[in-house]
Amino acid sequence: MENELEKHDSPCHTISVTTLSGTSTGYFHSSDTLQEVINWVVRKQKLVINGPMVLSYNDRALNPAKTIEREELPQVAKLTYLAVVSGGGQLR
Amino acid sequence: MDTVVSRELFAEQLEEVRESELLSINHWELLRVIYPTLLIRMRHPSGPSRNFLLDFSRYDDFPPSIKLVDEGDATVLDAAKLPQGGPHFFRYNAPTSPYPSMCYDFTSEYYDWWHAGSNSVWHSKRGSAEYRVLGVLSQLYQTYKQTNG
Repeated sequence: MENELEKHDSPCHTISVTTLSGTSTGYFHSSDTLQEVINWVVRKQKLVINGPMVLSYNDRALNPAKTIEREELPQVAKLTYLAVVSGGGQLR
Repeated sequence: MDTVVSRELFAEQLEEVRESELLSINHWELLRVIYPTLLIRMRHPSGPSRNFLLDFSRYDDFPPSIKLVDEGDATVLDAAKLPQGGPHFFRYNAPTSPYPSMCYDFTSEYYDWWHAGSNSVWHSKRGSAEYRVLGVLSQLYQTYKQTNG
């Protein structure tokens, strides 16, 4: 109950996440983790994940384990969630 | 090479590029789009911009050819003028490649010069989002960001 109250009291953020499948916008609390944001966009866009992905804000990779507040995202933020380009120079 | 198929794939997938917010988020500018080529300017996070010319002539069978070009659309051939620091980002594969290319599987040069005869890799991946036109641009930008600009 206490956690619920804390969550409702925390500021709301408007988060847009752009992937190769489009852009989705949702409302999150500053106490929400970025993993929750990732889970939301994967569900929302029905993404099929084939390898490592990275959530970024202004070219800065975000840590999914951290909260929106810890990563110091503004009230309105545009993020990207894209596959990491790996390898190069070899057959994969 | 089937020009009709290449043209249709290009037109269809280009719509995804035009509708994507990645253009504004990443500061990409579509300078010219006339099949079979797409000229795009990408701004490096450190400030400078570079122009890339993608050629989809063989898109029915290969990914696009990707060249780094100057403001006059001429291919940058001078190694001293190439971005530095990124792995496999516009390097010469002398003596077989006449211009600097990328050794990544989303470019035709990868299959033409770096790993000839391996284009079954492309066919196995081309249906996924990362290997459609928007995905190729995204991968190009990510590798560009790893350079000094």
